[in-house]
Amino acid sequence: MPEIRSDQVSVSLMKANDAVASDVQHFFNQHRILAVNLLSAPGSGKTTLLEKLLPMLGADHVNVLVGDLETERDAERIRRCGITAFQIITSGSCHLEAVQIKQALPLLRLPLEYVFIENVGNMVCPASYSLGEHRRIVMVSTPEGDDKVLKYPKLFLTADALIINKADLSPYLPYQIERVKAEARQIRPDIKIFVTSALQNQGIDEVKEYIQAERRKHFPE
Amino acid sequence: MKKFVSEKYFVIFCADKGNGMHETSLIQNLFDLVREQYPAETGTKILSLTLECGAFSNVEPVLLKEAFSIMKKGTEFEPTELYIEVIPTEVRCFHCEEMYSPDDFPFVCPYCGNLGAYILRGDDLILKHIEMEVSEHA
Repeated sequence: MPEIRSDQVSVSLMKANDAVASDVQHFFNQHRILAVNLLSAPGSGKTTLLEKLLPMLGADHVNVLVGDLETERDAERIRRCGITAFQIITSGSCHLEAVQIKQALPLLRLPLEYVFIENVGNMVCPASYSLGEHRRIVMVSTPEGDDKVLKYPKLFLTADALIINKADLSPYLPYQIERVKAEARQIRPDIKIFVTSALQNQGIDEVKEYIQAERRKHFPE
Repeated sequence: MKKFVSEKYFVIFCADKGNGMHETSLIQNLFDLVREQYPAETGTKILSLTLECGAFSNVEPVLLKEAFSIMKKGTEFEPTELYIEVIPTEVRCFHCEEMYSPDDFPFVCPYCGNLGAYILRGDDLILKHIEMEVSEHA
């Protein structure tokens, strides 16, 4: 006579990643590395920003992990700036997860002050996966349209900072920077906002100072 | 599972995360979780799995059910029913720390009127309940 067994479980299917992310963050803390996760839609300018920003932080003090479905293009661009970069090829997965970052940790050229993770270009899934980062930066750009914040609320809710890039194009576009700032603050009142043109080297200094200040806060001397 | 780390070329390949579609990857997580917590025994049949899905989890229950019905074929989960309950969201106001249940963004606190809150419940997908039939031979 078969017996029915019924169990209350209560295990998260999404938070399993959090446990691995916690291990990853522990590694970064041990080595006094500030880890930054950079998220955006494809083509916002993540790689260009890193090309400009990271040499200002000191090429020897930074390593980069780049996630893409295919190609090493972004890692190669960053290497041409003299910075060690590792390409994570996800072959179909639309977001990075903590386990992929954990696999890359033994490759890092320690000692380091910063690790930047350039996430897969996607405004949806990456928002739900912590990679063990200390700070999460979301980037939008003016040609994308100024309505994105309320369309992708989870992304902005989880963001510590917002970069509005390609500001040099705003005279040619109906993009309202103040609207984007206001909506971002609705979702995440304490979000830090930067307006940049990575290509034209505008606004990068302020981002550099933010990153350096965050590291000092996290790892006081 | 293709996993290859090439230090020379600084490239890491990961081909083990489902098809990349969000829901298929979650169903794979579900199968792995059940297999780990309830190792297969002769005569045991998993009758049902009940999931709790938050409105802010970025998970679509209809797609999850579709993914499950496709992926369970040819596995021990073929006879299993999947139930999904959508649960109300609970958040805590950043400003006054009161808890409330918003329907949608933006989160406006009904107590102090300020915007912004931490999500306490409703951003996750949880395996809540498992029902198994254990035959006397197990």
